[in-house]
Amino acid sequence: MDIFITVVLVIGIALIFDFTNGFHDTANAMATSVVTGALAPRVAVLISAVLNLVGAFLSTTVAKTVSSGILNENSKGIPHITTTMIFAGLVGAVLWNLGTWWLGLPSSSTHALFGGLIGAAVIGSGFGSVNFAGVVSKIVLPALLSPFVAGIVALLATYVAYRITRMASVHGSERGFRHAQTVSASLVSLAHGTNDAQKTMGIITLTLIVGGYQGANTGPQLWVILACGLAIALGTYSGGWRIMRTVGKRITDIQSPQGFSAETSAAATILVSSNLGFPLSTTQVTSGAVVGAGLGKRLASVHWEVVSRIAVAWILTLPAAAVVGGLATLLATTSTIGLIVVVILALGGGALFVTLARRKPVVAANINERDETQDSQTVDAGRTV
Amino acid sequence: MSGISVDWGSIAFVFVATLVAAVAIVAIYSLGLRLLAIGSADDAPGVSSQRSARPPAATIGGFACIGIGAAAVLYGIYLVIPQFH
Repeated sequence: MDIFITVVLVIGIALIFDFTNGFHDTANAMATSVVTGALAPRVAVLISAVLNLVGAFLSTTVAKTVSSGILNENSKGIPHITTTMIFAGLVGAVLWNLGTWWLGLPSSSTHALFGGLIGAAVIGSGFGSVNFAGVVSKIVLPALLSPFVAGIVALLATYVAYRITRMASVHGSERGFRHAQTVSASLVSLAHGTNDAQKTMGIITLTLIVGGYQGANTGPQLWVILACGLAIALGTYSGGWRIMRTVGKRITDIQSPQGFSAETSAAATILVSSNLGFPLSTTQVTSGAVVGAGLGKRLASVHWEVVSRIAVAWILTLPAAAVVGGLATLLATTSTIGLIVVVILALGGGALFVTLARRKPVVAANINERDETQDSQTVDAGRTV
Repeated sequence: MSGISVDWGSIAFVFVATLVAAVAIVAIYSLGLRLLAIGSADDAPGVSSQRSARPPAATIGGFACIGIGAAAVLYGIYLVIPQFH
């Protein structure tokens, strides 16, 4: 009975996490298109949401990495973790995710999720419960390298695009690149579904295996795929305007040939990695590609101080979420009351962040505004999404 | 822990596959745009818009390039869907 309740709690909070992940990811996929005017914000968000859902069904390799690649298993193939610990880890991840969302930092939902889970497992079952070799080779290294892969490829692609079209001056090139960018942005959304939605599926599948509701080493069930796909799509549709602004405008000023190159590179990186089961941080890949595209066209200046601010958030994400997840585990495993306290903390913290973010919303109307003073003026006219 | 084995091959594969796919698609599409612009003046400000007819070869080549780019994208999506294999 106890296990059933915590399994339900995990599924509930995992879907909420998926929803917040969607909030973050609208930005990654569509930021460059919206900023260059290739797509209207509302259309961009709708396309992105639908393709996220489609992507969730395409490939579930990443979900299997999450459910059976991070934690060590006992002789029966059951990972050394309890449903309560998974729940506590998720609380850590959600709180971190909402906090960085409020600050407008494109932190990594992925690293928050894995950090929370690892922290919970280490505190709850000891260091031996985590498959550190698997974590390093399948999560940490791909995570560290993927922004550089996407960045280098985007740099080359941008250079090639500008060389061939004489700095995008040939007749019709501006319009042509804008159409291409719509397609490439859609590809990024599709790629998200094959990578980001999978992480929540992996967590729910892990919980079902640990709780004894599903056989060891099996893939996600259909209802899990559907629920996760819908949650991330709804989150995406609800809008992540706040982060879209940081990625699209603050890192570098993007032109449509650069947006096209950056998105094609990011989509290719994510799709190939999903195929091999690497759960990447799509935020980092996209940001890497945007920086690469900025360098590829020398005229564009990269705002390095913003880049470094984002980089710090990335480095902090996994350990910080691990600490929050570990603390939540300490509390949740003491007693039923402790578990209830964690639930209340999660709900209260989430509500607080949402309230704070509402006070200064970034909406469709002011997405392209750059400084804070202009924001407060346009908010009055803007519609809250 | 008996050493951490890293699957460098897979990581290298991600890099090479991404590089080839993304640069090829961007290059072929840009080439298509360049071919379709033959006969038209550049979009730069202050340039007189002298025009001449675009040769049919350039038209065919331009659309072929864009078509190949689109086909490459579809093929890439085909490759990542396990149900097709």
